[in-house]
Amino acid sequence: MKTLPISQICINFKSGIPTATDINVMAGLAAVFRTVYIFFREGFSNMTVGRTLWGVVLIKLFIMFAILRVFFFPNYLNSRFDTEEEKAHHVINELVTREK
Amino acid sequence: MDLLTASLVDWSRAQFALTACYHWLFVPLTLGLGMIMAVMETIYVRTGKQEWKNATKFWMRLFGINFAFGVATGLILEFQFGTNWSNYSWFVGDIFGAPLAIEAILAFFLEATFISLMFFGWNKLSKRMHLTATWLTVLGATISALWILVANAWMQYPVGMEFNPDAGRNEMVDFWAILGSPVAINKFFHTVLSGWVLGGIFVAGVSGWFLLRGRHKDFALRSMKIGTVFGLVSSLLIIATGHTSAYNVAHVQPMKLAAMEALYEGHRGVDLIVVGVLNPEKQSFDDGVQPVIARITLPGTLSFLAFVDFNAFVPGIRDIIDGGYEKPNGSIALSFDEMRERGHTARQALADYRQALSDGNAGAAATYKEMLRQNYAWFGYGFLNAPEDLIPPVGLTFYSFRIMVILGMWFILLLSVAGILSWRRGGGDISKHRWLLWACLLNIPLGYLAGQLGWVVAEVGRQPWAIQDILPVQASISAIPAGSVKLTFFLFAVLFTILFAAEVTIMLKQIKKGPEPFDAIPEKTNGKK
Repeated sequence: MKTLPISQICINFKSGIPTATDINVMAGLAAVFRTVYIFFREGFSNMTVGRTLWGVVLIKLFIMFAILRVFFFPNYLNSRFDTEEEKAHHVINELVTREK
Repeated sequence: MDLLTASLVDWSRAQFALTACYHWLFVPLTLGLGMIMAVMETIYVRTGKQEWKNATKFWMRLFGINFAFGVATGLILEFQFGTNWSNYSWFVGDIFGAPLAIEAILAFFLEATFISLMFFGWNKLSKRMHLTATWLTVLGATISALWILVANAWMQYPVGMEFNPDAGRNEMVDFWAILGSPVAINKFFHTVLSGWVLGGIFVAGVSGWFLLRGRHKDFALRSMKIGTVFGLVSSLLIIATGHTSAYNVAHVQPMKLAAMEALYEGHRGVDLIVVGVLNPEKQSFDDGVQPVIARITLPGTLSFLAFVDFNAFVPGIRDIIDGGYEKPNGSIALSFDEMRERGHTARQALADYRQALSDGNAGAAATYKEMLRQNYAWFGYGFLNAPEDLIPPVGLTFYSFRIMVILGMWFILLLSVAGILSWRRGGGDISKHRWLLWACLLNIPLGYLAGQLGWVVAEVGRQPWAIQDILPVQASISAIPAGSVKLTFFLFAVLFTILFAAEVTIMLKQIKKGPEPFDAIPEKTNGKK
């Protein structure tokens, strides 16, 4: 099957009605996506220790982003100042006035 | 400003150190084990022997466990930048942000893509395609490390930037100067090699355990051969990068080198202390007390490591504070008082520049801006009060460096002996030496320890700086309550302990299972054998 670059497909579609070539290309792309989908589906379903590891990763990411980031690690400057100018003014003031 | 206590600085540093140490438990093994499994798979593809495929899959499984537990642990450091180190984060601007952004994109697209192909692609991809995915996974991890290390190297040796007094931040003016800085290049190779050493030690240790138990002997012997050779070659190469590290430190961070050697009074032809004991009575840099009470030294070797000349002058802590000696670039070193004066001038010029701008006095603003530019190289000294502020913790730096080097020598000895015995007479010799197998097994934590100590030397040794000469740690932190930092420190300590315990449990379980038998499903060959 002849494969066209994405840019070419877009140009063809601009004409309005997909041609037979467009349909073939779309079918080819669908086959590629299907192959990739099956590849990953089988990969995930055949995992053994990987299931536990994915569990660990997801729990870890949840703790990091939904708990630590939200409740314990707000961005200091973003939470206090609205504009870049205000942040710059604050930091410069710190650099000028801060003592040990 | 009353919140800015020593406690806040110390807890912020402790929290960052804890997180970085935890992160560094995973990164080196990812780098080292990744290389070893890629080498094993290459042998499998070239020879077609299923035994190598089984070995590759076993180590790949352990790589996956390590990778899964380590993934995103580095992000916690970025959380801390935004919360605890907001002045620093703003001040470094896009210089630190650009490499980290590249790292994040690479980590996601390269590692995430090819790691999936690597784990799911057995029996689905051709041998060569799968091997390519494996190597690209390793390459992705290594390139990720490159960008992080470039960012770290810039903090040790800030180049390729200009300070913008309007934005209050440093701006990148020469990307290639940052990427190609000698400190960055050396740090990359030294650090990656340390990961490779750990990979070799890990594989040799686990293989030693199988040989001790008398299980999977063929697999264990194959792995032992690869692990010992890989670890030994990496250990020898790291000596070369260690030398260039010392050379770089001597040129851009002389105080760190002086602290590493507890060298208070500089002179020509300085010996390298191989083993030494610090004098607890040494209280001050100028009290005249002998800093080291017992030592075994290599004559002139520190001078050689620092300046490739056995008779070169190496400045001590007191010389760096007093100034007046000739620096490697031929200029005369300024004293601490002179540098602090210039630092004060730079800070005052920044304040005056802002004031002149708000007064609408363009001429005065230009004058102050130029004054700031001329004194910016000493900006950070304006935050220091006394010469003692310039001295890093000598004891921790000195002992960490010694132990790291001694461990490195031990690794070379152990891996040499284990390597020779595993390669000689079909490996029959090594199984007879149970003490050696035990040594390989017990050596695994020492491999981790050496890497951690390397970072202690690199980071503790450059205190008080967050960015060398430009920004000390006390000016980098946010004005937040020390109690909140303390709370999150213990929160992390608990979280990291649980995660580490879980990783060790899962890892040990998989090691005990051993390599799986040959695949029943034939390999996809694309018509080729």
